[in-house]
Amino acid sequence: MGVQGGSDSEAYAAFWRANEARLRRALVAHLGPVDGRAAAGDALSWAWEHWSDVRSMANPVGYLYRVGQTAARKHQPRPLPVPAAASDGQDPADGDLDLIEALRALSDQQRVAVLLVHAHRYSQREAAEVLDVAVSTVRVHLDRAVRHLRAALEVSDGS
Amino acid sequence: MDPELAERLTRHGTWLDDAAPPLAPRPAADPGEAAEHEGVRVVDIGALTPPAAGRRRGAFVAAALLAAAAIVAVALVVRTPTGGSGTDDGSTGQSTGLELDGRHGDVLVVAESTLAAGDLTLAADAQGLADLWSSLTTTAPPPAIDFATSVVLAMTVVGNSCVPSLGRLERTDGPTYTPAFATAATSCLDLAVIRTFVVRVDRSAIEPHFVLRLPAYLRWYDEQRLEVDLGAGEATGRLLTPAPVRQGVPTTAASELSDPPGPATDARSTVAGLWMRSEPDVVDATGPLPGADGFRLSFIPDEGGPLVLQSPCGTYVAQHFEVIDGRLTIGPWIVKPAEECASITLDERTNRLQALLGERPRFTIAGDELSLGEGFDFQRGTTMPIDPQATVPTMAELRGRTFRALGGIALDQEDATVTFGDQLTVTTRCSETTIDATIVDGRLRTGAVRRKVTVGRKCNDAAPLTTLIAWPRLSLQGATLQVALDDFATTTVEVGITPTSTEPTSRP
Repeated sequence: MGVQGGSDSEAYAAFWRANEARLRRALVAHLGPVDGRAAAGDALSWAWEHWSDVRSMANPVGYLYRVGQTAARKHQPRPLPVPAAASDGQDPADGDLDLIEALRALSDQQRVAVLLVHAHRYSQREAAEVLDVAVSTVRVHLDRAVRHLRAALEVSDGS
Repeated sequence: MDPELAERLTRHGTWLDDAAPPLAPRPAADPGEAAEHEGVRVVDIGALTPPAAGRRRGAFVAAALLAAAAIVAVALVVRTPTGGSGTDDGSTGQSTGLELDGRHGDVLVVAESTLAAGDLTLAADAQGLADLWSSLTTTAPPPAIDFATSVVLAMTVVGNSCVPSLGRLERTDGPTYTPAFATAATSCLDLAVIRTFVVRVDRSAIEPHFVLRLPAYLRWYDEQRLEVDLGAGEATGRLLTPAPVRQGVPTTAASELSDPPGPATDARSTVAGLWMRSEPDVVDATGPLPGADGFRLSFIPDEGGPLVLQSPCGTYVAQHFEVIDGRLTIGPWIVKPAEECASITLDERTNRLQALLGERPRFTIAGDELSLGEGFDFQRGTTMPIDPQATVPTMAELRGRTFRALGGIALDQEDATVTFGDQLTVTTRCSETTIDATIVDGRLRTGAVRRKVTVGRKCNDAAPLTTLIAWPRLSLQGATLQVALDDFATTTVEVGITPTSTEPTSRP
């Protein structure tokens, strides 16, 4: 989906508003919070530098997802952190440690797909746009990801 | 999908959002406070042009600024420097109040002043007006006022480089009058400027007894209320609230520990001899944690967080914490991992970075000790005594108090330098800001501001974006120039002008 018209600044602001969260979440799902967020910053910076090109792209967010991945390769990736203790002083959710390990075992695309769709509640179409793949491909990633997670976490099929 | 798995994924998504917050130049503040920040964070859109290729981080900051500015510009109802609200066109619907367009009074002058931000003043005679006028920077003489038919009210507020207009005083029951500021400006430098709005009001338009109110504004002042009595006797104005504190002066008794100044550090390119110090130096509740090499905890008593725990592998920041009835409540932790740290050995145990970053420290208050809690299991039971001399005299005084940590978040003292030569230059890890600033007759005058952002991955990891883009705020108190470096006002560097100055600064 291309970028709407208007001045560069207005169009970029609109693009940022519409896509920052999705792009950041996708890259965080892929690279972890620290590198993913930094990569999202890199990608959005790149977008502003090359705004005239980006705004004419058919799928700018998908392209920037790859820009972010490329930027992240320049740096040592970090392991995905363990979920934190709840800020209200409750005990940390131990099960999340298992979830992290299970997520880490997925392929990058499976992990990004399952986190975007099931953790962040994006539609499959929106996830497909970020990954720059067909919706049917996302569906396959989701099916496999959920199957792997169920097996790893030993949860039953709720269906 | 299995409901349990769905729930765990949802929780994990929330945690990821917390760990990687939005890339937007907004302060990480309470919702109520964030609105205030939106109101004062006005950036110069015109200055943001696409950068040269290869300056990606600079572009990122510019892009972030641009996006936020545009978003705010589109969505934001213009908020005033005092936290009140108005509209661009000045229309205010059916609300009642005093119109200051000549109908019920008028604005006599808007001028920078030496009054404290938040100050409310009544002048009901010529002497009162002269006293008030002497606090203003204006060189014009005070106007002739017929005090038999008019009174003069002055409101001193904090703003930026743009001067808002004051068109009316809104009336609410009481009666209470609140100034309604408005601005249509979109390009303002966020230097704190203290301005006094002096208005004349017809006695016939106002009740004999009323309250002039100034809403609280960020950390500058709490809500101010001046009770005015224009009855048969001599007109009086009496503050119903604690008098506002002058700009730059610490607001708590504990903060007054900043005097006397600490040892001087080397000054660079200075005209005047300088000493430099960051506030953590004056906070005895900052220090290493016994038995935990490389760990430091810092905070001082103030009206809010954060609390900072520095570890060899990262810095933990809780923006807010408070102790009420001896019970400690800490807000969400933000973790800023160190650049180069793959592992750390503590108590003969090697903790992986992910474990360090995954566990948020928790604390408990016991007696006069702040203890790391069970959740921080790799350093279980570590405690740091709270020096009763430095923080609060007794445990009883902890009750109902909140604390604010200074420094150690993004702008460690060694990362921020301030030089004052031909210009004042504030250099941080990520930016260099040069301000044409002079001190004349004890008053600080600022001119052009130039800044160069040198942004890199380290900066982005280490500092909230707001820190990178924040403008230093300057204030002069006597012979001390105070430079607040970030938007939370949690990192403050004081620059004292020593008696050995080669260019003595006269004092007000």
